[in-house]
Amino acid sequence: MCKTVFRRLIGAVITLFCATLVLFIIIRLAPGDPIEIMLGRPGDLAIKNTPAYEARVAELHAQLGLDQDMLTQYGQWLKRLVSLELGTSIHTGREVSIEIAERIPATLMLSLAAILIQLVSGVVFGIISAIRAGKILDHVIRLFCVFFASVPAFVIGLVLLMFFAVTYHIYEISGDANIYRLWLPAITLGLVGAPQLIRMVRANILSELGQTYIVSAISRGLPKKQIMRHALKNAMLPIVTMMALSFTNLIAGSVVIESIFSWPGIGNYAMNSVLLHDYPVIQGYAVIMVSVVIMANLLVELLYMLIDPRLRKRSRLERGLENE
Amino acid sequence: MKKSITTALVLALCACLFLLSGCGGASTSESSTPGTSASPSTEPSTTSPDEVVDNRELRIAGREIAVGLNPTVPIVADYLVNMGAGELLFKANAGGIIEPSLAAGVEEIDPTTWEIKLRPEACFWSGKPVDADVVIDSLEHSRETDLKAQPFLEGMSFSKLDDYTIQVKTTLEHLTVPLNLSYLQLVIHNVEPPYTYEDLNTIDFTGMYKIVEFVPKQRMVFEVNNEYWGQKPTIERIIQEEIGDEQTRTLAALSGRYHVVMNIPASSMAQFAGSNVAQISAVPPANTETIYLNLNQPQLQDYRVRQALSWGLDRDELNLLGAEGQSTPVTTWLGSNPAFSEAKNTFFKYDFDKASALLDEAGWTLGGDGIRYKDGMPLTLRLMTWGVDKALGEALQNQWSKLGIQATVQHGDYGLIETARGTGDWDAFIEAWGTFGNTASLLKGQYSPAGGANYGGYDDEETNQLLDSLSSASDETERHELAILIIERVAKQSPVICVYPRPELTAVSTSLDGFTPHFRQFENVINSNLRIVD
Repeated sequence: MCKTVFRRLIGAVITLFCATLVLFIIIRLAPGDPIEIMLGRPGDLAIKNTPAYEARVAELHAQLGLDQDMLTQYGQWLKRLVSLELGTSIHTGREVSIEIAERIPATLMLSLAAILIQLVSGVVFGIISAIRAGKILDHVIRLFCVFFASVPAFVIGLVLLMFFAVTYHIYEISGDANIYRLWLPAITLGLVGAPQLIRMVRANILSELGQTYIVSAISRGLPKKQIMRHALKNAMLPIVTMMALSFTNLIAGSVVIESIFSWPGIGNYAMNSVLLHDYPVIQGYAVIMVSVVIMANLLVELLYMLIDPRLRKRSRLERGLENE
Repeated sequence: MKKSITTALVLALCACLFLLSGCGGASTSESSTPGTSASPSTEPSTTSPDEVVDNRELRIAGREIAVGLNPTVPIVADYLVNMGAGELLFKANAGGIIEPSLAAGVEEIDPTTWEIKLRPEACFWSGKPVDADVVIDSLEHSRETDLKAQPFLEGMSFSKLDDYTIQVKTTLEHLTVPLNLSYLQLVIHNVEPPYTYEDLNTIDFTGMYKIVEFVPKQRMVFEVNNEYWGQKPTIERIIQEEIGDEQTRTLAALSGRYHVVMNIPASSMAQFAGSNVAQISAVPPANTETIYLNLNQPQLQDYRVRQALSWGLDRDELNLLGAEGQSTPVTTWLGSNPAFSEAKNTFFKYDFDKASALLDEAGWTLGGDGIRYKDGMPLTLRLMTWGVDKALGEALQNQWSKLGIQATVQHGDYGLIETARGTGDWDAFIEAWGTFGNTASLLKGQYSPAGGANYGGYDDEETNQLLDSLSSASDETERHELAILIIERVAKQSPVICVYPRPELTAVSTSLDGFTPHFRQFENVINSNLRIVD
C-alpha cells in the first residue's frame, strides 16, 4: 500500500511539473499585455503613446520581471512556487496566496453544500428510480434529470434568483459569503449536477440487480433490503469517482454560479483575473486547481483500495509476487 | 420496500432542510467601527438574517469597486469621489459647469496666473487642515506618480501665497485651470507620513464619508465624517458592493435590497417598466461610441469609402438595437459633450443613396451577389467589438451589408483588440472615450499623429494646424470655434465614425430621495441631500 501511494505521489509531482509548464506557456500565449490593460483602460484622456506612458510600462515590466525572456520568467516562477510563493497580483498589488486564501473558504463552503445535495439527491432518487424502473415515479425522475441536465446552469440560477430574491424576497443578493446566502447557489449547483449521478446510480443498481449473485440471493430467500444493500455496495465504486471529479469541478469551475450569485469564491476571482491578464493570479489559481485535481484522484484511488476488497487483494498479490 | 423509499425520501428532505436553514428574509447588516482594517467577508460569516437593514444605511452596487485605496492608481479615485470619500478642488455640475468644490473660489488674475482660495474650515479625516502646502503636495504627488493625472497638470506650477491661497502659473494663456483640476485623478489627499495609501490605516482624505472597511473588488463600507466642512449627510453609513454579473445587478435592483445599482445593461430596461421598487436614471453621458477605422487598410484609405460608412448608418435604429433607445445619436465626437451640443448632429444624417453614390464614385460597384467589388476584390470590413457593444456591432453589420459591404463582426475580449492594434491586423473597432474636459487635450489625443487614441493613423495637415491653433488659443470663444472647425475637418476626412453616447443606466430605488442624475454619474452618486424614505 505504502509503495503504491509513494509511486502515485511521484507521478503526481511529475504531472504537476508538466502542468506548470503547459500553464505558463498557454497563459503567455493569450493576446494582450497585462500592464497595458491595467494602465490603458479607456477613460477621459488618451495617455498612450506618450514618453511618460512608455516609461511607466517599461518600469512596471521590469518591476514584475515581465521584461525577461520566457525561460527566465518560468524559472523564477518555479523557484517561487517551490518555496510556496505565488507572487503578487498585478492589479491589486496583494499577495496571490492571501487573495486565494480569502476566497477558498467561500468556494469550499459552496462546493461542499452542492456536493451534499448532489450526493443525497443522486443516491436517493437513483435508488428510487432503479427500484421503480418503468413505473411512473421512475419516469418523473428521469424527466427531472433530462430537464436539469439540458437547461444551462445560468438559466436555472437566474430563474431561482428572480423567484426567491425578487418575487418572494426570501433570498438576499449581495457580495457576502455566509450561511444564509448559501442555500440558493448550492441548490442550483446541486440541481445541475444531480441528474448525472441519478442516472448513474440507477443504471448501476439495475445492472447489479441482474447479476447472478443477486439472483442467487433472491433464490435463497434473502430479504429485499439485504439484497439492495449488496447491490448498492457494488454500485458505489463509480459513484465515489464521480463525486470526487464533481467536487474538483465544483471547486475549480463554478465560475458561472459564483458570478450569478455574486458569491466571492475563487472561480469568480479567477475569471476576473483572466480578463485582466493578471498572470500571477491565473498561474497561482491554475497550479492550486491542478494540485486539487491530482490530490482528489489520488484520494479516489486510495478509497478504491479501501472500498473494493478485490483491489486490496490484487495489491497484496502483487506484493507477494515481488517478494518471491 | 415502500418503507425504504419513504425513509430515503425523508432523509433527502432532512439534508435539504439543513441547507435551506439559511433561507429567510436575509438582509444582513455588518457592524464595523471606524479604523477597522480590511476583513474579508469571504470568510463564512454567521450574520443573522433577522438583522434588519438600518434606515440610515445606503446600499450601492456596481459592476466593480476599487482594487485599492491609492488615488493615484488608475480608476481608484473614481470610486472615492463617487462615494463621497475623496474630493476635488473643482467639480462639474449636472449642467457641465465647473464649480468650486473643496476650493472656496478661483480667480484669473492675468492670462497666465490664477489664484485658488481654499476653505479654512476644511480638514482631512486626520484633523489636519486643508491648507495650501498640503494641497500643493497632493497635486505634485499626483503629477509624479499618476500617469493619467499628468496631462491635466501639464504647463501648471503651484506656489503658496498664504495659508489658504494657491497661485497657479500656466505656460499657456487662459489655460482652463478649474476644468483641469476637476479631473478625477486629482483627488486631494494628505501625502505626509504615515499616509502611504496601502491600507485603511494609511489613508487620509477630506470627503463627507470615511472608509471604515475595504475588501478589494468586493466591498467598501463608509461612515459619515462628523468633522466634514460642508453640509453633513443624513445617511450615516454606505455599503458599496461589487456585483459582476449584469443580470444579477438588474435583479439586485429589482429585489429592493440596494438603493442605487449602477451599470444596468440597456437590455434590462424592460424589466423596470412599471416597477415600484426601482426606476432607471439615464442621462446621456459625455462619451461617444466611436468606430475607429484603420486608415492603413487599402479599402479604408479613400475618404469617400469612410464617409459612405457614416452616411449609410441609421443611428436612430442603432440606438434602438444597440442601446434599447436609451441614448441619442451623435455624428461628431465632441457632440456628446454638453458644451458642444450644437455639433451633435451636424454631419452624416442617414442618407443611404448618398452613401451608395460615394461608394460608386470610389469605384466600388455592386455585384450580382449584392457585394461591392473593385478590381475583383470585395469590399470587406471586419468590426471588432467588446464589452456591451455586441448588439451594436451586429446592427452595424446589418446596415453596412445593405450597402453591399461584406461586413463581419468579431466580438471578444478587449485584449484581442489591443493585440490587433499592435499587429495592425484590424479594420475597425468600437471604443467610447470621455469627451468632457480640456478640449485641446481631448482632440489632440484623438486626432493628432501622436495622439494616444489616434489608433487608425490619422495624419492630416489641416487638422494638425487647427489642433496647434487650439492649443495656443487664448480665449474661450476662440477655442470653441476652433474645436468646431476641427470637428468639421475631421468629419470630412472621416477617420472615425461616431454613433451615440454609450448609455450609462443607474437603477435608483423609489425609497431614495435626493438622487441627482448627472452626465458623469460615475462620480456623482453620493450627495449630502440623499435620504431614505419609507
